[in-house]
Parts: sequence; C-alpha cells; structure tokens
Amino acid sequence: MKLPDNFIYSQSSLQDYVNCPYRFYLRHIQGLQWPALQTDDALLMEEHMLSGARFHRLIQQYFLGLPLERLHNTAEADPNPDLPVWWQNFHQKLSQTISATRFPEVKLISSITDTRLMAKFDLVSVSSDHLTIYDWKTSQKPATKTQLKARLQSRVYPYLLAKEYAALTKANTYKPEDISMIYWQANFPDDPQVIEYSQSAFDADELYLTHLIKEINSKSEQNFIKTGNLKHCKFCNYRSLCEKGVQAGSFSELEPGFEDSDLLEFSIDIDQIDEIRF
Amino acid sequence: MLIPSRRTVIVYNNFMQLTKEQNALISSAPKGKTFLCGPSGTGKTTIGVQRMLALLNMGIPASSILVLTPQRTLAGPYQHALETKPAYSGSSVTLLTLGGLARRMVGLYWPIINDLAGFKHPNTSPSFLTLESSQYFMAHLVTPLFEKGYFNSIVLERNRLYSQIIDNINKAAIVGFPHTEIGERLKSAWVGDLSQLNVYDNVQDCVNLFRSFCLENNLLDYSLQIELFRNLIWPSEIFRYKLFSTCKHVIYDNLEEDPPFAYDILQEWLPNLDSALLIFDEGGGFRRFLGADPNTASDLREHCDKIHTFSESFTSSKDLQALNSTIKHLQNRDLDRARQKSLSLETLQEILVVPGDELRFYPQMLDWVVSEVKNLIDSGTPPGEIVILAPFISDMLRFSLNHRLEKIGIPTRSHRPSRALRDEPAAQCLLTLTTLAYPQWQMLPSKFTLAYAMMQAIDGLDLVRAQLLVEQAYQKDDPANLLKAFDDFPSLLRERITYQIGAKYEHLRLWFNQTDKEEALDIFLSRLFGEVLSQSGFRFHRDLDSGRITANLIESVRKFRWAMAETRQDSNFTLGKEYLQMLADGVIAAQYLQSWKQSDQEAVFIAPAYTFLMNNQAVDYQFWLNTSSSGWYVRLEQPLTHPYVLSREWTQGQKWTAEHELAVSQEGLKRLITGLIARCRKRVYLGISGLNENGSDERGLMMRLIQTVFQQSLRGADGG
Repeated sequence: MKLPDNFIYSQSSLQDYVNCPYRFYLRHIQGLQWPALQTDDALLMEEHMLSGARFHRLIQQYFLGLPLERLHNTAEADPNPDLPVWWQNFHQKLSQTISATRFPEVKLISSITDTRLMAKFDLVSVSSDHLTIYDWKTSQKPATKTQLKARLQSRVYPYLLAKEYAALTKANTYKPEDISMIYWQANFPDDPQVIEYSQSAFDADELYLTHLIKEINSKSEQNFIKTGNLKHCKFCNYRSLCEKGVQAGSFSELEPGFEDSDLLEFSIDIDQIDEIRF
Repeated sequence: MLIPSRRTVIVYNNFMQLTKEQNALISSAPKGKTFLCGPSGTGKTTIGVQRMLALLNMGIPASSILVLTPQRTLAGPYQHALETKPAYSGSSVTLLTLGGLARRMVGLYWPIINDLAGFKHPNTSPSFLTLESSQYFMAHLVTPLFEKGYFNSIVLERNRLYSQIIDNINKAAIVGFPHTEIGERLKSAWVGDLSQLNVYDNVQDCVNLFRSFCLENNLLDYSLQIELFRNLIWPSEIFRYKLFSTCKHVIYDNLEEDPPFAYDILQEWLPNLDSALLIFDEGGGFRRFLGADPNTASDLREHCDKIHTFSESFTSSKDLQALNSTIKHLQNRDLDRARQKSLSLETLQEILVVPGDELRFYPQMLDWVVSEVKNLIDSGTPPGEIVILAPFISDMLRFSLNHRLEKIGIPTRSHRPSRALRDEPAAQCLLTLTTLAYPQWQMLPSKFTLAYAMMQAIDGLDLVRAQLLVEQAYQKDDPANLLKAFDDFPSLLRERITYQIGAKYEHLRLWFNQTDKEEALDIFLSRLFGEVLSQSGFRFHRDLDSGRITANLIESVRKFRWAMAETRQDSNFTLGKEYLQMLADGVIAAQYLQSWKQSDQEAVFIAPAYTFLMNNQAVDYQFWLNTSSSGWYVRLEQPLTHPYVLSREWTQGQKWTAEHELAVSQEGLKRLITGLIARCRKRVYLGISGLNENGSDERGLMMRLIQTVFQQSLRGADGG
C-alpha cells in the first residue's frame, strides 16, 4: 500500500492500526472525513477535551516563564471548575520537582524502516543523568499502569526519546535506562504512573515498531481488515460506514487516559486550528 | 499536510543543474543575511529549499530553523523536501505564516497582555474568530443600522458589504495605522459624488462598533491578533528572549506577497538572527488586494549583507522568455527594445497559439480549447501539465469545461477560492431535515424543498415518489406531528411508493420523533449523519463526498457555537436558528476552502488566473480564456474599501483619480501576464471568441497587447 506523500507515523496512527487496521486505512490513507459522533455525550466530551487543552496550555505557559500570578488568575477564571484544582495540584505538587532544563510541547522525529515516526511530548525534562517524559492526563477516572502501558504511546515516546535526545541536549549521553515516562494525572496528583525504560524494552520496542510499520507499508488495500472488537467500533466515527452499529458509546465508558490521542480529532489543539485566511 | 505535485519533486531534484553562484549560496556558512531576488522560475525556491537542507546537513538544529511563507500552500516544497529527506530526524523545522505565528503567540502569551489591550474579561481565555465568525458578528452589529439609513446609497450583496468593512479593519492592522483613521483616509482620497463621503463615515462607525464589541466579548478577530502581536507581544522581553534564543535561522519565501506589518517585524528581527535568506519574486505582489506591498518588501534588501539577483529562467523556454521581455518593453512603452526582442512570426505562433478560424461564439471557443487539450493529451502530455485559466471561473464555465472534458475521458480539477455550502445538495438535505427537527424555529420547508431533501436522504427514492410521499406525509400546520406515519397512507399510495422506501421513511420519521429539541445544532447534525443518513439504506452511506460536505458544515456550525459562547446573548436567542438564517443570507459558510490534498494532481486544472499564480507551480501548457475581458486587470468593485488608498505607499491627502486607476490596471496586467508566462514551460493557447461568455463584444487591454505583439512580429517578418 502506498502511504500518502509526506506521511509520518505517530503513536496515535499506530494505535489506530492496532485497534482496527481498517480505521487506519480510512483515516490515514484515505483521509476520509466521516463526521459521526464518537461518543454519545458529545458536548461533555468536547468540554473535557477543551478543558484538557487549556490545562496543557497553562502548563506550557508556566514553563515559558510567564508570571505565576497571571497564570493563577487565568486558572481561577476558567469556565471549568475543575481546572483551578488541576492547576493547584500541578503547581503545589509537581512543578517544583521538575529539573531545570525543560522542553515543553516538543516534537521529535525519527527514521524507521524508510519512513518517519513522530512524537509530540507534553514535556521533556533533562538532568545530567536522566531524561523524563511527562504526559498530562485530565481523565475523571484514574488510569492504571497496566492500562497506560498497554498503549502505543508508552512504547513510542521513550523509544523516540532514546533515539533522538541529541536534538534536545548534546551535553551528555544517555542510555535507555536513563529514561522514564510519567503520566501525571491532574485529578490524582498523588498517583503518578511511572514507567521506567530499559535497554531490553528499547530493543523490544524497536523490533515491534519496525515489524508493525513494515507490516503496514507492505499491506495491500484489501488486507486492512475491520476489527472484530466491537468495543472499538462504539467509539469510532466510521461505524456506519462499516455497518458496525448505530449509536456511539457512552462517554463514561471510555477508558481513562484516552485524551490527547484517540479522540483528539476535534480541532481544539490550538496549533491545529486553521489560521484565518486573510 | 500538503501534497505537492510530482512536478515539484522533479524540480527539486535538479540540484546539479544549479549554477556555481547558486551552489555557493546554498552551502555558505550559516551566518549573515541574504536577499535573493529575481523573476519567477529562476530557481529561488529551489535555493530556499536546498539552503534549508544544507543548514540541517551542517548540524544546525532543526528547531532553530523557521520557514515563513505568506500562505501555507507556498510552504509545500519545503515540507515535501523535509519529509523526503533521507535520514532526517531529531527536532523539526517550523513552517509558518507570519499571521499564523501571530495567532499562536497571542494565544500563548495571552496572560501577559490581557490587561493591556482593553478587554472586559482579561483573565478569561479569548475566542479566536474566523473570517466567517467575524462576518457574522459584523452582520449582527450592522444590520440594525440599515434602518437608520446606513449604506442606503450602496447596492451590494450583504455578505460583500460586511466583508469589505472587515477588510478595512484588517488593512489598518497590517499596514499599521489606527483603525479610527479608516474613514478619513478613504474620504481624503475620494473624488466624485459627495454622498460617498457619508458611506465612508458609515464604514468608520461600523469599524468602531465592531472593535468595541470584540473587546467587550473577548473576541480576537484577525486585526486584533495582528495588533496585539505587533504592539504588545513583539516588544515584550519574555517573548523576545524565548524567540531569539530558539529561532536562529529564517528562510522567508515569497516575501513580496505579505503586508507591511511582516516587514516591520522582520526589520527588527534580522539583527537577532544568525542567518536569514529573504526570497523576493520581482514580478510578484499578486495579493495587493490582501495588503501585499512588494515595494516595501523590496526595501528589506537594505537590511541584508548580501544581495543575489537571479535572472536565468529554469522554467520557461527561451522563446517564452523572449516573449515576456517583449511584453515588458511594450508595457513600458519602449517600442524600440520591444521590436528588437520580438520573435519571428513562426516562432511566436508556435508558443502563442490562437484558433485557426475566427470563432464568433463562446461555446465554439470552448470546443476549440477542449480539442486542443485532447490533442496534447493524445500526444503524451500528462493532464497535470495543462491549466485552463480565466479571470473568473463562473459555475457555468466550470460546468461547461468539466462536462466537455470528462465526456472524452479527460480528468479535471477545479479550484475556486469559495463555494457556498448551502449550494451543496448534501448540505441542503441536512439543513432541510434540521428545520423539521426544530419546528419551534418556524423555518419549516416548502413541500418541494422537503421532497428534494427526502430524495437526497433515502436511497432509491426518486423525485416523483418523493413528491408523492411528502404530499401525503407532510403536515406543516401540525408542528407536533409534522410527518404522518407510513401506515396511515392510503394503501394504493403505499404500494406506489413501495414498502421498502416506506420502511426507510418510517425509520427517519421515528428517529426525528425521539430527537432532543434542545440539542446543539452541530451535535444534532453529527447524530443525523451517523445514526441515519450514513447508515445502510440511506444515500450518504458510503458516499464519501457527502461525508466531506457534512464535515465542513459541522465544523462551520461548531466554530460558530464556540465564538457565540463568548458573547452574552439575550434569552430569546437560539443559536441554531441564527446559524441557519445567516447561512440562508449568505453571511456565513458562504465560502469554504477545499483542501488541496483532495485534488487529483494528475488532472487538467481549471482555475482563476490569480489562484494559479498563488499556487506557484509551473506547467507545460496554459490556456487563457476570455482574453478580451477587462476582468484580467480591472479591480473588483469595492465601494467600502480601497487597497491602494489604505496602503502604506499612498500619500495621505492625495486624490485617487482615473489616471491612478488606469496605471494600476496596466501594472496589474503586466504582473499577471509576465507571471503567467514565467510559470509556463512550453506554450500558451489563447481562447479568443468574437462574443464573450455574456454574449457581448469586448476588446480589453490584454487583447490589444497581444495584437501588438503579433503586429511587432509581422513587421519583423515584412522587414519593416
């Protein structure tokens, strides 16, 4: 299968493929717009996503060095009453623990089997002997380490950083053992999920990702088959096209930790919103 | 993501053909500021792309490189080169427009500027307006003023009226004068009927109202984004520290198409950069009506250490280049040099083809164009190497060409900058069904409109049966029970409509009965699409085009809802109803841009000439239709604004006269013709007919110029 020109793999597109090869085909190869609901409580989900985006923005502003008082005021004025709490949790329990050299909202790209793999990190912090990836989550339900580890994000992010950290710092050399990934959950600040990386995990991820991407690259159109797992179809906008159901699944049934990847098709990421064409 | 055509790839692989000077420029040390100028087709963008790659090869971090272009499509070659560069990894080069940079930075640095800009709710995040939502709010503010006599001497479609007022406020921001001076500037240049002065006063009132409304409601239109960035963010230490420490190398391509605010920024930025490559197209400046200011852009050379001028075309044939020179000399009234440069008649006829027989009627000319296109394709020309251009592409012209070409199996693609969503059958269907679901809005459709929507919705239903169905089912006077159950139809009618269709109708009817009458319109549309219309048995099922149109419509409604969330409307306000009314009036969703990536690059491209120029890709063959039309050079009528009077070059107090108008027409025509020829490799075909599209006889400046070119060559052939 010929991928679209300029196609770059990401944890999100790979997760799509793993969940349902046909969804990957429709979304990333065909670029098909199919605007059915993804969850039944669409407004609730939208509000959740928008709040999450504002929280991400607030943390980015913090690491840019914007005055703290102004960020407090912004958080307090937010329409979502949870956001000031998330902000306080972040400020009081996490912000001071993150080391001096910090790269918020940073994007890294790596070559893999003649194609590219990209990751956009919420934050990477660099110390003399350690690299830490932070990912902010704002789910109402706590995500367990098992759930998070099962996601492609937990493989792609540390793998990419291990390969491409030199784009951020050339001061030291780092081994995979020097990398950890922290899912910091704004509603559960005392329960961060830490995933330590290692050489063996790196080797396994390299093998897995290379195999996965080769598999996709060599697949013919008709072999992008539909998933048999209807749970995925419940939250997939293509369900009517595949004749896999009518109604979207309930927002409350969504697995915690989904935000920022699966359903962020809304144009709410500030960087993705179209510029005004003037 | 952009998908440049295959042609682009070929051009950028021609690196080895570059001159020594060009190679030296590409591989020079990453220091200093270079101004690179030259006509289109001389390899400037190729140099820009190769310079970017060379910087990466030198070990410059990608994150410290910024590529700026006036519009995103022009960044295509850079994006393509990055994404096909072998072993490119690490951080990424940023590709942006300056407007995009301003927008991002206003969002990011909002907490440090919000109390300085006069917003009523400084701590609340602002809402960014699109052109569409700006137009809506302008309509909201201006409509009550019509009753007070505002603009009563102007005959203009409402949406154009609103957009011209918005254009004014944007011009003030990008040129860099206070928005409160718009009316006076326009008035001071006016010669003519004094009633126009009142119109300019009306414009100023509307601009003031709009700005106050935005500040009151935390709305950031384009003009505010630019002003906040220029006046508050750009000077701030915290922003400068971050920008100057991360962005060290700038490549700015097609500089001449950006407005003066971009040059102000760049002038201050240049001393803080390690390296810069500013690329200036000497024949460009096509976006004048959007504020492009090529003369001010050209002055940036004074701030650079080195100036390189390229003159050798890598695109046009030698004969086309000679033709371009002749045209330039003729337009500069340098007849001697024009004569010296003129081509032999035989050569001219080879590169500038006119119909062999005189064609009186417009359709005959279209037939000739189609037959010439067919000849080219039959002789091995890829369809993507052919463009058909006209000053404007009307629906009729587009249809006529598409129909003729597709009938003989030639693929086409057309790109008009705008197309109304309400004109799309899928959107009409959705909107008609929406009015049924919300009877309280009192916008119920006519029987015929509903029948047409039913036909669009239900697979297998033709218009005759749709009308029978609606005639029986539709109870417009009973909003609580608008659609009658199929079982209550007379049995003969049920048989005629068929039970299969009846079952689908019942599915739709029952679905309507259980809808939430208070649901947000965009959510309702998503639900209608996903739960009914795209399901098996309905016409949107597996109709990918309907999916795309529905997605466009939903996006438009959603952005409207988000913008409206910031304003405090009275309790009688119904967002969905308001959207539908504004849509019907053409105020919103009057235009949406189809993505370039949806276009088949290997098809004959039918486009307005300026759209093709701004696409900035050369082709082998061009067809110019309506060559006798004045549309090639006459400015669009804009009674509420003026791109030249509101430009930085204009001397305040000077009057805009007919001489000015003629001068800009001639200058515009020169830019257009030379720009088109510079983007043509082999041959131009002139679609000439005695009568134009409207059946009238026209003899515009372009036609006269072409006649003069031929006369020059004839004289040469006669030895005169």
